[in-house]
Amino acid sequence: MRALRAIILIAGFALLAAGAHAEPKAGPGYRLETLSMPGAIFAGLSRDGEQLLVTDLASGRLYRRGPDGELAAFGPAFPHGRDGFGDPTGPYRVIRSGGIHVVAQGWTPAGSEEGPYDHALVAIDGGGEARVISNDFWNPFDFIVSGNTYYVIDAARNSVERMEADGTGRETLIAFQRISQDATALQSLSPTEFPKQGAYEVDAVPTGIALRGERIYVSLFGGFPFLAGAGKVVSISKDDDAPAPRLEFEGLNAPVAIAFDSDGGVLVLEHGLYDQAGGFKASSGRLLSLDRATGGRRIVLDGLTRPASVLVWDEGRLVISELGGSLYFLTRETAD
Amino acid sequence: MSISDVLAAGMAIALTVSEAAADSSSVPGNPMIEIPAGTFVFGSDDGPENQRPRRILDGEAFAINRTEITNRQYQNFIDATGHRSAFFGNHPSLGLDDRPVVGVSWGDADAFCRHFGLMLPSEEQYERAARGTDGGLFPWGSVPPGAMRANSGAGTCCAADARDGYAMTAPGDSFAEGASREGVLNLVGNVWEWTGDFYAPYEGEQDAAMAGKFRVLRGGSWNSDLAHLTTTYRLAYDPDFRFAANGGFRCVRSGP
Repeated sequence: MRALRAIILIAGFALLAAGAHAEPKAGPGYRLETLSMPGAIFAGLSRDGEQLLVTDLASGRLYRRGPDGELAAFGPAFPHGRDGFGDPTGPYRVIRSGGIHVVAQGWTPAGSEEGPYDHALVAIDGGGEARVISNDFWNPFDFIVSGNTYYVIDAARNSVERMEADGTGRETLIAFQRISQDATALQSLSPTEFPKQGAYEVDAVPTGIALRGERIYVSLFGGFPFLAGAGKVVSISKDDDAPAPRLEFEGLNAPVAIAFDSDGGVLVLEHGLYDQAGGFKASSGRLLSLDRATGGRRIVLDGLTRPASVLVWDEGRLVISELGGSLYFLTRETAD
Repeated sequence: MSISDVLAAGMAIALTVSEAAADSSSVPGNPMIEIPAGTFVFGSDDGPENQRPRRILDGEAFAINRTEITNRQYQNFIDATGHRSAFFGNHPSLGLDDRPVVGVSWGDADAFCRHFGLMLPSEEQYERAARGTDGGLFPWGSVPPGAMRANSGAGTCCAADARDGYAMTAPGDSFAEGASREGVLNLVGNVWEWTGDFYAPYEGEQDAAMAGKFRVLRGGSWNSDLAHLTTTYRLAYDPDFRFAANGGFRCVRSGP
């Protein structure tokens, strides 16, 4: 009966970390620094000149962090709170695009009247005024800007949407098919819901998006029951009308973000391992560096709890956000 | 349409029911309905293999909660014992006071019932309460569930559906037209209900690897289709699993 399908939506991001967890551990060659803001739910990261931009789902605010290291809120406070499924909702990501900031805003908070900023892309001008670019999304979890075009992850439609910066020409570039799983692996959860020799399909929920050359790379978060290794990364041509996805990587644990480092290497942020009794395990998230040529995998940062976003700051520095209100700064150590 | 729209639509219709006759309550606010001793039909010769065969059993008298245990009742238990919260206890819709508690493991449910001197129902007790003595297809008779009798899902497994007034859980005392002959509510639909029984075939040998490993839930829920919204469907699950937004329970008291 797929009795627990509802949990796909609910457990996805509702299990915010509670209590203290061990500090993540940087891989060889990296130095780790941590910035924590109690009560914050940090989500999307981006770079605006010398400023780090990060969104906070707990307050609905956008933050910038300049060279002085201080976090300063800017722009309006966006709707925030828990959505109808108990997940934190609010501004998922903010990106500088020309003279404006563009914000991807999530579901309508439960108990609130639906507003124009809900499930929308919103532009903020230099004076802090906001205008809706489009709110014809269900759950715009992430997006990228390429020239005058926005590519938006809709994590409820399980699609990538393409539109012009002025909101026109919106079209679904691709809607991801459900991922077939071997039901044998689910027998330990329910022998009646997942019979032997049966096949079980889980949602292929797009999460992170990155652009490299003419291709768009998308991380796919395998839906409930969040089996270890169910996550994938696929790529599509950004200009085709009906692009066919090409599998790039598989065997990932709930990937939520993807980025390319300065060498062209692929960085994938794994949300972690899911335990049917305890939810996403604390300290099970990782930042991986994947080598497409060799298939090799290297752990860049281990022991993360509910990580949300990764940003390549420059050749030597990376930033990772956690829903628990921490930002991690990784600096590549030089040989000298 | 956003999820919030669906929820708002679901909450716009609140059914009310009259209080059913009941004896003294062991769980404050949730009367125990007496089920007399006697023969009753158990199992079925139709449907999934694991619910076969149909036979006649002789059951002892027992009493069963009129409604599924609600969030308010579960919170009172937490306050009294320090037991952990239900996973969806703070959910803006699922966590409402009058809704059945969801997001509880079998152990949580068992602890609640024992705290009140009660037990989780056996599969036999569930079927007797839900089917009457003559093996009814549904608590209300043989008419298929409709929007007024049960909080169910879409026609195709397993999406939520607000046509019955609720996108997800409904208040425990809703759907009076779906009451059993004795007045027990929501024995089909709303939330799957943990039973006290381990999952095992009614007849024949059990796979040794599965013995004593899974507990059975009954009754279907707010996202169940007709195939699962029956009084005989058996759902076996890992008893430690506590993230079901559609899994709750009620308790029984054995003996007169």
